[in-house]
Amino acid sequence: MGLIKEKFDKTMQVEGEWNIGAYRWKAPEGYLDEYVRNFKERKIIGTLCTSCGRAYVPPREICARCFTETTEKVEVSQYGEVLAFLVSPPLEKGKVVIAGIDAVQAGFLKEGERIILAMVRFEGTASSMVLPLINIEPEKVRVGMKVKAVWAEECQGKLADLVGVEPAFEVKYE
Amino acid sequence: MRRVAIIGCGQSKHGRRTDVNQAELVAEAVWAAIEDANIGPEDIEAYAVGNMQGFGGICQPDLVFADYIAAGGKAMQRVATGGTVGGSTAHLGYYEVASGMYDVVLAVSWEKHTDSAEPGATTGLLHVAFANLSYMMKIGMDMRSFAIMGLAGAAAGISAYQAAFYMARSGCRIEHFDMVAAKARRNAAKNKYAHLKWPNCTPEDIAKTEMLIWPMRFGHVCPASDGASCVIYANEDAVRRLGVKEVAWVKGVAAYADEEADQGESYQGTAVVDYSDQTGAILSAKKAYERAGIKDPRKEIDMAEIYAPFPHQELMFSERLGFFDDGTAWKAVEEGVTEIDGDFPICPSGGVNTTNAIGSSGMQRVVEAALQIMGKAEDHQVPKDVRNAVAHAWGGQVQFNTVMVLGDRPKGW
Ligand SMILES: [Zn+2]
Repeated sequence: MGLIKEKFDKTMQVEGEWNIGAYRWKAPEGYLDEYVRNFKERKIIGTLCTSCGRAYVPPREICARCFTETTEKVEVSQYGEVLAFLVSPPLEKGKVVIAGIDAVQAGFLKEGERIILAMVRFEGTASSMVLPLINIEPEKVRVGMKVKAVWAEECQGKLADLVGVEPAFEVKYE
Repeated sequence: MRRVAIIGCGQSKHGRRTDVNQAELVAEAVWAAIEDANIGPEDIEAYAVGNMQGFGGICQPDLVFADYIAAGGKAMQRVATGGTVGGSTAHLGYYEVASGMYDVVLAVSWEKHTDSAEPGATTGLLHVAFANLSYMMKIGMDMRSFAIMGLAGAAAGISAYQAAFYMARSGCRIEHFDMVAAKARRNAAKNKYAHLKWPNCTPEDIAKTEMLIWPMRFGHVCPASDGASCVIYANEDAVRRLGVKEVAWVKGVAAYADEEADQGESYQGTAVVDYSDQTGAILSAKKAYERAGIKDPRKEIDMAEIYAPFPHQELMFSERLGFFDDGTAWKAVEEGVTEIDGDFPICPSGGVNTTNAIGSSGMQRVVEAALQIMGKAEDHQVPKDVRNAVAHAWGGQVQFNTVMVLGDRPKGW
């Protein structure tokens, strides 16, 4: 019984192309623009849920726990805590290809560098963010270590102004 | 609600299936299940079908395969809940029989990654990430940050972050991930439907594989498989009427969604601080056990098939589903508790870590749990008596979970 095929080893493949053009995603006007505009002043401004007290960074339009609009803005600390982290192997050409671009070849990432990605919670917030952790050897990173925001030399009100985080204290590792 | 049993199970061979198209792949599992139940397609009243939309590069295969699985003139509904879809489709089929709407229902789910130029990645994961990345570019993300985001994304996306969270929380080491991955490959070698088989694989073998991004090695990552899995449900009367001998009873199901982890829709923060919390899994398990009349899951449940594409997830979910205390599953792994001949076998089939045809994977957990109860798992049948088994599925932006409790007799017997 059934339609199990034993006649062919391979199905025929017919290649076709389809230019699907652009997608359009809807987002609330302005709230992220305002978030990054404050980066110019080196400020991290999140949204506050007045019904449960959670502060969201990046800002969020609704609190999913309360199902309420988060209309209040609140400035949060530049200091945070490493909750968990990832460490890349030394980067090589041909290993990091994103959307067809070799990130090392193109100079976005340096050959041989090791990137630390930290999941950081800024003090007083109820959300975690993924940010590069810099100015520290990967071997010295610890869960729970205090970090602080690192800003670009000249902030322009862009997402890229927040370069990442670095250790908040100099710690001797015995 | 009516008592419902699984009366037939079917799986296609999983792996790179260049020999079939999607319709033939789905039909392979469906006809295997119909033969297993020893019934005819005319006995099936309704079809629940599902897959991860957009991963296989063909948008609406159900339009074609309906004819291949004898769905003409019957009810058919398609489900899509990301990686969870096999679990959700299994639940839909169960609802249809439990509610009294139909007596015999077939549920099938599938994925055919190789129909897409870059399996999964381009058509699937990228279309999930693309909206967020587009926003981030609009508000001034630079190319360096974009490339850094891609580092973890290229490895295993959000699962790499989750593995790091799980380590921080539980105190387990990367060696425990190696142990779980080696166990999966050894078990898969005993399963004729599995994709990545490696007899006698050791944790040391896994430890030799390339580090993608610490703590995730190449040897921890699931393959992109092609495959389909299928179950047939019947109510108590239909089981008798059709003269089915071997069944697995559905004792309780539950599904819970949670908030997105990671930055949510359009780069907004969410209240899921730790991606390994998995509140949805905890709630699903609690409710499913309550519905199944199970009070002590570790004692009353005999084995589990957990949806774990990555080894940390087998550890994490085995805790969230109540088999081990929070942060302690790695100790059970050290003691061999979760081995095929252990006290609490987990994924004796090899699991999703060795065979991941995404849409199929959630359903395959149900199939494998049912086979263990019926004693039909052949070479990977666990030696202990299986009276109750759990099938779990997971997906979404790590926030959807489904749990099904199966037993050798219905609840209350
Ligand atoms: Zn709130």
